[in-house]
Amino acid sequence: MTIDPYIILGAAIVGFLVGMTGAGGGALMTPMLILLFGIKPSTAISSDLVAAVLMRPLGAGVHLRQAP
Amino acid sequence: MNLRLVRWLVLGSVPLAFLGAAGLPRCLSAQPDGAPVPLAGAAALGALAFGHVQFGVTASLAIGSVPGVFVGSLLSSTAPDRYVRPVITFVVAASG
Repeated sequence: MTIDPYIILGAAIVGFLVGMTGAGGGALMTPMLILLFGIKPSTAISSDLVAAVLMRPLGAGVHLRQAP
Repeated sequence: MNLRLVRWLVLGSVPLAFLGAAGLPRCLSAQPDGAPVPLAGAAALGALAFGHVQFGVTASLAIGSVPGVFVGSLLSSTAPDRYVRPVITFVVAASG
């Protein structure tokens, strides 16, 4: 129930890469949570999925606005 | 938006990474951002119902990744290809 500033920083880096390339959401985020922050795999998978629903439409929206 | 392209990406988004590394990233790299959203939505519903969602972890991820995605997609749709391509190569190498 605590908000971890290091997870925020890591998520910002992964989010930047996802927005830049469109690839690597779960493939980078979940291993980061498990290997770097020692979060239980089941928790990491569930939390990553819920966060992806929030961030991916935003990235798609930005790209749609910029599309020719 | 080319609907057939989106459908193709949902079926096979892995080869896309190689396309991006090989040299046609711009028009394609926006598509995989949007294509798996219904898929992720269904998976997130399942995780919320049966999984182990922890509010603190999810909130931290959302707070960090939302501005990150915003800046990243803004940059990738304006920056020249030669800056985007090395990043795509890194992501493919790191996640593959």
